[in-house]
Amino acid sequence: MTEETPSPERISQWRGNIPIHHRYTVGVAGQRFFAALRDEKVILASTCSGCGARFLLPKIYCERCFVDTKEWSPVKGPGYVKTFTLVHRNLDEEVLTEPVAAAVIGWEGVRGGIVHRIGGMDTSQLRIGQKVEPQWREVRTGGIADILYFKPVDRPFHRGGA
Amino acid sequence: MTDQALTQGEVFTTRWRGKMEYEWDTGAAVGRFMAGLKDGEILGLRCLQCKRTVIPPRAFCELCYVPMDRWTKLQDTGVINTFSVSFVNWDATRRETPEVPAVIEIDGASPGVGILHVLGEVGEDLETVVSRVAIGKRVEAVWKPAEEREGSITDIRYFKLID
Amino acid sequence: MAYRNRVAVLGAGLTRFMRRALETPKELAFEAARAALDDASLEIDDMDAVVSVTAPDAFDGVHMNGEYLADGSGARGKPFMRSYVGGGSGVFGIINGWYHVASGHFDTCLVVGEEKMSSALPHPQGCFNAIYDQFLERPLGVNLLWIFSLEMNRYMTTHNVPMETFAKVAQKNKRNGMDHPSSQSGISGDYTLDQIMDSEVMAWPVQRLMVSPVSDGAGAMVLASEEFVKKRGLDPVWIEGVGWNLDTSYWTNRDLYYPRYVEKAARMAYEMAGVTEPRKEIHVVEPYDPFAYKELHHLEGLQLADKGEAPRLVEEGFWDRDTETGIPATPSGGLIGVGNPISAAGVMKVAEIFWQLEGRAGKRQVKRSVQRGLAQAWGDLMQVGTVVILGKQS
Repeated sequence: MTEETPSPERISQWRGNIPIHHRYTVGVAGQRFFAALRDEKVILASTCSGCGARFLLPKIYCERCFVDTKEWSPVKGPGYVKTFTLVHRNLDEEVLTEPVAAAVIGWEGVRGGIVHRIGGMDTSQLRIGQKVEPQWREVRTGGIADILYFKPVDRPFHRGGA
Repeated sequence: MTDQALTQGEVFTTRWRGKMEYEWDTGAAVGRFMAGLKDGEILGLRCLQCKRTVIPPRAFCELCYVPMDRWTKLQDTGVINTFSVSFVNWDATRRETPEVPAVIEIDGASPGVGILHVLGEVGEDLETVVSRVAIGKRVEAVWKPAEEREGSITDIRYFKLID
Repeated sequence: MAYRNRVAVLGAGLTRFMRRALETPKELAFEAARAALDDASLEIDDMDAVVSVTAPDAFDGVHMNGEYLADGSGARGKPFMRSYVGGGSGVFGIINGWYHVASGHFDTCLVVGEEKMSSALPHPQGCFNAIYDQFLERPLGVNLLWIFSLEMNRYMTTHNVPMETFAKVAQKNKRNGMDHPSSQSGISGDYTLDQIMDSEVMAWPVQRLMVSPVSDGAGAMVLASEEFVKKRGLDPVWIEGVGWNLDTSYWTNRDLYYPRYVEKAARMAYEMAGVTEPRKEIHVVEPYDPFAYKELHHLEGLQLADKGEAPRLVEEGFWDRDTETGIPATPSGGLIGVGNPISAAGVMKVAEIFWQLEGRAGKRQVKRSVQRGLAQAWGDLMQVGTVVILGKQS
């Protein structure tokens, strides 16, 4: 621009927003999964009609064979902690009074898992492989929060302590 | 799937209310233009290569792909290139009195070069608006008072027909 | 120009189009892609690469929608590419898939277009607000209907087109859509011209029954190289030409009465296909029809009518499905008669040409014989044209 070199104060800002929000349906598979959580307190996995792999969260298709999943059945017995982290700050980066244990929980013979919180224990003692089971909410609405958290099945790390 | 299924809880849903707030830097060209609006001026930019004078402002000529050369003061009058009579808001809700958006070719800019704005004082219902407004009619800017201007495209309240 | 491979179309699949789908976006993608594979009698292992098309992330509400959709689109562990040009995306996806195979890099490619607009609240219209200039246009309260109604007014005033002509286009597409199994509930039907012309004014001159709806849905197509086709002894439909073109976002600086970017895209595709007289050599066409006037606007951009001539040809029935001397336009029913899940709708248009050329369009099959057809989409700020020409060699 030959006539005028813009000075910094000529460069201004303009504020705005994108004023939309979202409502997501949980889908065909999700509908069945969450109904079972709410009504039967069971965690459903789906099985590929091709390779026989069992998926959690359940899907209507096998991503490998790209065919429908057919059988739906609850996972059996306790799950186990596949990996976990202790979260010390919230989304605004403020320090939490107590760390939150977030874990991926799997079941033997099932591909995938559930991301959830671990509770009912001293989480500083949490280890990969810990066997866990769901702590159900009394009032369930058909969402992942129908499980309050996963709690240890046995308490091997409580031996000998206070 | 019906609306009823959604609202009565037969269908499980989750919600997300993203807080998408932005602060955009205007850049040199738009910043200068907006400062001009605050002063009650509509500024165009001239490319000496293709000899076009354009608005909305831009730092480079998109045809010649060179920097723009010169700021030029345009008139605050122009010609209606096209217009519409809208009864729908951004969120698809219905309005009783219409808005009348228009593309206005600004006097002093090259032929066919316009900006988006709205027309005012053209009537409150469809029949009146379409009987009064037509493509090709001349319009002039109606500005906010100087003390209310903030360097925004809305410093021009609307364009109105020149009788 | 030399391409490594000629590219054939082997199959297509669509979900039903819906105002509100229960399915998640992934599930929609799976249903369409699985149907396309079944249509081609192929499996996912036969696919070397996957192309995904979906419009702004804001509709689905997933800020990496391509990656999110990948496994539902059959892309697990495969080369995967997403492309996006607004409303032009559906046809652009087929062009991107063509590129994958034509390059010689892949023998096959699965193209999947998906849109779930119903996730966005208070209304998907709100997402469109953010496509406009944030400094000089959004503060005016602009919405999508403004820009279409402004363009329509410019077009109808320039050529002095009566409203009834646009109503006839909407009537044709809504009737054609009655025969499409994917047609969204309540969209197609046998409407009278009065019903259409008396429908609610949304943004004059745009009226409700001349506009496509908000939709959820998915569409997919299977593309393959000549070598792949020969090995299997198939006699497929071929992609004969592709073209695409983008104008600037300064939409108020050009005369909206004519889409010159569509003309450029069409000329590119015609040149590649060796088409010199489109009005004789294109036998069926699927122009992009989000609004009734857009169909005519695009037919002119595509050089299938002179400027201002497309509306007059409406009166002669030139674009009707049962024409014997004209060019049937939008035999599918289009966005107005089937629905408009944006990217999926573009795929649906190419799929319609594919099925027409294979003689598999059922009740929608056009009367005249067809060896070559064209599908086109449009999008962004009155800005982009995407064109695909398919042909069947006898």
